[in-house]
Amino acid sequence: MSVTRQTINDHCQQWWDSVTDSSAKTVSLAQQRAWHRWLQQGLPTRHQESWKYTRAEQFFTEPLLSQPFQKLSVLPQKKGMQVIADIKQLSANINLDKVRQAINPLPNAVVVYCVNDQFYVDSDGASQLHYQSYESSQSSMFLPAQDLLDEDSDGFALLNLSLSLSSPRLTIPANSQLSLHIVYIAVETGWYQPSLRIHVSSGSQLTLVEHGISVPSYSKVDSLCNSLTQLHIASSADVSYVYLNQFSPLCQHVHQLLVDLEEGAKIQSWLAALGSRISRLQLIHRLAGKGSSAKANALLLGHAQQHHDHRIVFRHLAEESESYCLHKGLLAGKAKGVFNGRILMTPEAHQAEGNMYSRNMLLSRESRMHTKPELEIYHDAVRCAHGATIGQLDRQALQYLCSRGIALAHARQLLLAGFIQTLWQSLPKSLSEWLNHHVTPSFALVSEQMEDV
Amino acid sequence: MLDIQSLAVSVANKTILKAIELTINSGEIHVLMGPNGVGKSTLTRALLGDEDYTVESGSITLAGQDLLPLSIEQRAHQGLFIAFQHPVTIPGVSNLQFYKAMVNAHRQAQHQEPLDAIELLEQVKHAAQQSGLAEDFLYRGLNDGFSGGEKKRNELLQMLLLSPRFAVVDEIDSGLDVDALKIIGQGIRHLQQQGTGFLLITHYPHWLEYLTPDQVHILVGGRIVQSGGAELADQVADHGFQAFAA
Repeated sequence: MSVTRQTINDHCQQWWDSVTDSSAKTVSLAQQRAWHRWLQQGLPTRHQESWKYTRAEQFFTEPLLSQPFQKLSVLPQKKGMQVIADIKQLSANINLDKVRQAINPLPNAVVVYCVNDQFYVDSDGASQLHYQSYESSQSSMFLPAQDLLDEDSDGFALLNLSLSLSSPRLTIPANSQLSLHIVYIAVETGWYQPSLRIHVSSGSQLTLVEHGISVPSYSKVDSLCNSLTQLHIASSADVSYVYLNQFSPLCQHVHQLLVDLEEGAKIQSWLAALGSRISRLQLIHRLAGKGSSAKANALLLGHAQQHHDHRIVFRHLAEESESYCLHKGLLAGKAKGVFNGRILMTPEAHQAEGNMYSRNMLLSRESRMHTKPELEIYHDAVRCAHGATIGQLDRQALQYLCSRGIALAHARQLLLAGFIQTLWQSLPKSLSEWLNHHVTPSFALVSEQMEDV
Repeated sequence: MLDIQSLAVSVANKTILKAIELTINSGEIHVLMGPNGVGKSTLTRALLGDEDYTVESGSITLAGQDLLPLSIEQRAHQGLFIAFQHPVTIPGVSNLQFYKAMVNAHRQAQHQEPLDAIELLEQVKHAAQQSGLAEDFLYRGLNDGFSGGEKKRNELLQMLLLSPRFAVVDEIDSGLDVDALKIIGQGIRHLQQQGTGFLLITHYPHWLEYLTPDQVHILVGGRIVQSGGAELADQVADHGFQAFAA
């Protein structure tokens, strides 16, 4: 049964009341600001261009909103836990070995588990991380996350900023390297809003994987994970970012990545939406430093009745900044995909360059793709390009492969794999192998629902 | 032996080929020449099994096997190879991946185990050398970034890997320089000696300097109007196709 906006608003108000009423936590100014903006804007509506094809109410379900409101009882501070707790404090009911098997941890990475709203790490990992809670830290390194959002700020981001219970802040020391694998798991029915801030100091290299997954033992858990990660990348620092949604159909995911880049800073992202019945992913890049660079390669893979909505924004605020986005959608069954992209060239973006391409394949009669890359340019001396295509499997290519004796089903799989493969070409080998390991099973599900069209 | 009897083919309700008769034995090279638009490519598509082309009447058999009821891949399993005039490009599927799929598909059809990866690589490298292709292309997308000549060499490489019973080579000479023509010619002769029969489709008689055809056929108006030896190709060179107008 669908829920109404009023029911959702009431639930959010209850949540806010419990946050402000509790003596265990002081509400920060940033939280108050975000809440007041939420009261003005509310949940996104389809009148907002970036939400035109996705109903925000679809992320909520009756079981989710009928959970008893006891959020404050699990506040880390109340339980005496650190903002990132020791893994030994994880409930004995959770089989960590099965979780590890499902996630296939990245080699040599520090693995941080976010179970419901709480972050956990083992002692080895803890020794490699420099972290504290966002509120207790000197947060001046980070722009207020709200300021990174668009004018029609995403209501889900505002909810996370105002209602999130714990917000670890990690610092990657200057001229150092770290691989970090963050795993988001829901083990109880509920609405979770993890929030993470990472400062990547000058000259350092970070490989960051954010991986949402439903472990088989908990795949029937009805949940909404509304997560937000803010990255501040200092001058000449380099980030490789991978996002993978492998949640079960009962676990919906809204994820925001807000990136702020200083001079010479770089980020390359590889994103894959495979799971959830409905998901929304928003990446906003603020290229504020001269020569900063942001590249995103994204895959939207849909089958059955999945709905994936992606929004990727690059704001060029500095000269010689560079952005590139290749977004691909593969949809079968009755799946629906949405891509909204924007490159904004401000008057300060002298000699900047931005390219954005959306390439999509529909594999069944009832699949749908809505795609709209945009350019918004306020400087004459920039280079920009954008394009979008929607098509089907190339018949000539299929015939060619079959003419070599390759069976039609295998030929289709080869073409689909080839379509996706160009996204991962720039991935370092270890990440490429890891991502392929996880993407391949979902790929088979899509292939099964292909039709002759 | 490829045997085509009384073949009539239409596309979009228009009859293009009318009563084609052609028999090519193992190890023979036949050349099919004709002006533009007379049905040379239609014959190729009909042999391929392209569903857009309707076989109105007649038969096509290869080594006694009726090809008409077979799918495209099944015809390939019977030993038919089509070398295309414009081979497709498939970025994201490496040439090596493609060869592996192609070779193992044939082996599976013959109830054989897939070829060992090292053995396959050796065979591919040898065929690449014979085709004049450098090894660095193996890991690039299929025909991705290839020149026209390189694409045609890649068609030859595939023929060398599969050693088909019969190959249709559709205007492989178009866009090739002299050196590439020589290599293609050498490759075809090599396969001919192993028993592959060929139907070479071309406009231009000049590249037949590198091959000695057993028969030349002139296709005009959807029919083979004349068949003969290599001297027919010389007549085309001297007088054009007008001399053969039906």
